[in-house]
Amino acid sequence: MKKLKQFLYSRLPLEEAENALKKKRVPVHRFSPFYYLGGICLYLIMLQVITGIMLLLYYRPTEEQAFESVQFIMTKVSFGWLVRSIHSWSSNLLIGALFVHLFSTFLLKAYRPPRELTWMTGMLLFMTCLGLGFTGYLLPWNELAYSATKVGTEMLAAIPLIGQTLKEFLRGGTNVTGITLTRFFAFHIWVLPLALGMVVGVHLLLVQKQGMSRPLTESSGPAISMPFMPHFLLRDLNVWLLVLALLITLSFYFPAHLGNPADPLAPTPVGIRPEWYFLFMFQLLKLLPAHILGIEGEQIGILGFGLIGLLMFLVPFLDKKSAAGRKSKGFSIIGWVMIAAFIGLTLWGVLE
Amino acid sequence: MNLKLNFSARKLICFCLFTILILAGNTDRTFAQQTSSCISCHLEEVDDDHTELVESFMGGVHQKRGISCVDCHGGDASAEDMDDAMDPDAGYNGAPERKDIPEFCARCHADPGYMRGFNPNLSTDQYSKYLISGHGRLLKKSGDKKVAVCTSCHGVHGILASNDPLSPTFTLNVPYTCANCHSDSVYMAGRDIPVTQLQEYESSVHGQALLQKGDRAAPSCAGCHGSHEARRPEPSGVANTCAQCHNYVRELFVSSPHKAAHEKHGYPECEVCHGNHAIVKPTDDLLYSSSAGICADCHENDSDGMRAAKEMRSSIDFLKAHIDSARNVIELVRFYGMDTDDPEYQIRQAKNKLVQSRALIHTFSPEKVAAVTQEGSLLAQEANAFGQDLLKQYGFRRKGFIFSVIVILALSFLLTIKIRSLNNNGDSIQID
Repeated sequence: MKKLKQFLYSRLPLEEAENALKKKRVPVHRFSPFYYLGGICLYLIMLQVITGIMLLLYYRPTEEQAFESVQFIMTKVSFGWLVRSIHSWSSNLLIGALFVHLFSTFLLKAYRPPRELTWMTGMLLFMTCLGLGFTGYLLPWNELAYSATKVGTEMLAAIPLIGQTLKEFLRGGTNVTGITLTRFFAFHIWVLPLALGMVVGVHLLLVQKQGMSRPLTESSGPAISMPFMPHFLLRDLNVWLLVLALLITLSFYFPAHLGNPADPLAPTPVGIRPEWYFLFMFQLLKLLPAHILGIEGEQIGILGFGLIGLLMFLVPFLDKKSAAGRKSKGFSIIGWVMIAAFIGLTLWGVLE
Repeated sequence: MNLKLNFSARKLICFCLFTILILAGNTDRTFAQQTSSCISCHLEEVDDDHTELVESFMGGVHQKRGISCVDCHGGDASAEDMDDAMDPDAGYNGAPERKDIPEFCARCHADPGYMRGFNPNLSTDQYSKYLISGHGRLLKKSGDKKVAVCTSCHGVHGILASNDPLSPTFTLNVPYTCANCHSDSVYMAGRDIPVTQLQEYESSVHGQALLQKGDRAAPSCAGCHGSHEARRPEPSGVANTCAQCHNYVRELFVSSPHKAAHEKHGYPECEVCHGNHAIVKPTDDLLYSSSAGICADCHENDSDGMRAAKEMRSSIDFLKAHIDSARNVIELVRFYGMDTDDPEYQIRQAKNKLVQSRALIHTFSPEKVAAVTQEGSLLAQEANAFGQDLLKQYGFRRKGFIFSVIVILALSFLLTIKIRSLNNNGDSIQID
C-alpha cells in the first residue's frame, strides 16, 4: 500500500492536492449548515451516474422496447426496482437540493467577487440538471411521460423566432415519436452528463480555489473556521449517509411506478401536469391572459422566464452593493419574493 | 324578453327560410317547390294549423329530397287561385283517410324504381312487411282504425330520416314512440296486451343500455319485434329472436336436453327463465340459491335437474372463490407498490373463464361447466401463488430496508461520535 502511494504520489500532483485540502478551512457561523448543500448535490449526482449506468445495462431506447425494458427492470432484474426507484427519487432530491443551494447562495450573497464564475457555473449546473430531469422523464415511454413531454415541448414553441425550430429539433419532427425518445435518450446519457461533468469540474475547482464564502452578515467579529479535512468532510459524509437512508426509505415506501405504455393515438390523460419542479412555470403560464398588449400571453411568460434566468445568471454583476461589501436589501427582497412565488405556485399546482 | 313570435313574424320567417332554401338548391324538384302556390297560400292565408303543417314540412326529409305538396296530394301547384289549385279535376286527392295511409305512402315507398331516384339504399318492402305485421293485419282484417299506420310512428308532414336523433323512429326514441299507444291504458283498452312494457323495458338490462348508456347496439322494441313487420313473437320464435345477438348461448341451448322439452310443451325458451321486457342482468342466484333459484319453478327439489343446477352453481362459486382470493392477495401486493401486471393478467383470464362457464349453464351439463371452472381456478391459483411470491419478495425487501437503514444509522452514529471527539480537540476551531 505504501509502495502504491509512493508510486502514485511520484507521478501525480497528489501531494499538492493533499496539502491544499489540509490547508482548506470552512467558516463556522449560524448559516454553516447551508455548506452541506453543495456536497449533497455532488453526492446525488454521483448516485445518479451510478444508478443510471446500472439502468443502462437493461434499458432499450426504442419506441417498441422502452416501456417493456423498464417493466423488465422493475419486475425481473434483481434489485431493478430499487435501482430505478433510487434513480427516480435521487433526481427529485437533487433538483430540490439544487433549488435550496441556489436560493441560499443567492440570499447569503455568496456570488460576490471573486466568486462570480462559481455562481455562473452553478447556474449552468442547475439548468443542466433541469434538462436531465426533463429528458429522463420521457425515457420510460409511459402515457404520463408522453403527454408531459408533448405539453413541455409545445411550450417551447412559444419562444419567438426560434421556438418552432427548437420544438421540432427536440422532437425530431412535428410530433413526439420514437425519434424524440431516441433523441432525449442521447441528451440524457451523453450530451447533458458530459456538460454536467465538465461544469461540475470547473465549479469544484473554483470552490477549492476560492474557499467557502463567509456571508456579509457574519463578517463582523472574529472569523471562526474549522479544517475541511477531516472535520467538515466527516460531517459531509454523515449527511450523505442520512440522505442515503432517506432515499432508501422513500424507495421502499414509494417505489417508482410505471403506469400504462404511451399511446400516441389516445387522448391526453385528464389532469396532466409536469414534474413538480416545472410546476411553478406551468401554473404561472396558466394564469396569464391569452393576449397581453397584442402579444400571446404564453410568449410573454416564456420570455419572462428567460429574462429572469438571464438576470439570475448575471446577478453577481448587477448586485453592486454586495460586490462593494455592503448589505444589499433589494436583492434579499427579490430572493424572498422568488422563493415565495416558487413555493406558492408549486403548492397551488399540486393542490389544484 | 318575450321570445314567442307572433303569427305574422312566424309567417315571414318561414317565407324567408323557404326563399333561402330554394335559392340554395337548383334541382328540377326544388324548382317545382319554388313555383308551388300551396306553400305561399297555406303560409299566408290559412289558419295556424296549416301554417304549422307547412313549417314542419320545411324541415322534413321529403322537403329536403325535393318532394312537393302535389307529389302526395295532387292538384295544381302552379294555379294562383286556391280552388283551381285544389280542384279534383286537376288531380287533387286531399288528405287520405287513416285506413288508407299505408297505401298512400306505399305509392312511392313500395316502388323501387321511383325510390331509387332518391335513396337507392332505402328498402321498399315496408308496405309488404306492414301487411304481415300485427298492426297491418288488424287494419286489413277488422278495419281497426286505432292500430298504428305509417304516420303514427313517423309523423305526418315533418317526417325525419330514422338516423336523425329528433326522429321518433331514431333508435333511442323508439321505446317512447311505441309507448305512445302501448302504454296508454285507455287507448289500448279491450286488447289482450299489457301496457307496462315501457316501464319493464326501462328497468331491463337492454333498456338501461339503450336509454341510460346510449348504447345503440342494444335492442329497442324494434330490435326484437321488428319495425314495419312488428308483431308478437310466437313461442317457437323467441329463441331465434334472442339469437340475433346471443347466438353462442342459443347454440348451447339447442344442444341441451331443454330444447326438446321446451318444444314438447311449447315453452318460449329463453323467456321462460329470463322474462321478456323486464330482462334483468342474470345473477348466479338465478341458477341456484338457498331459495332454490329459477330452476325450482319447473324442477322438484331432489330431481336430477335441481342437482345439476346445484352442481353448476357450486362449480361457479368454486371459481369465484379462487378469483376473489387471488384478487385480495394481488390488491395487497399492489398496495405495497409491487408490480402486479402478470398476476393481474392471469386473473383477467380466470374471469374470462367465469364468463364462459356462466354461458355454459345453457348446456345444463354440470360436467361441461366444471371443466371450464377448473381451468379458471387453476389460473386464479397461479395468480394467487404469484401474489404470494410477491408478498415474500416484499417481506425480503422490508427486511433489507430495515437492515440497511439500521446499518446506515449506526454508521452515522459512529461518525457523530468521531466528529464530537474531533471537536473536543482544541485544534479544530480556529479564530482569526
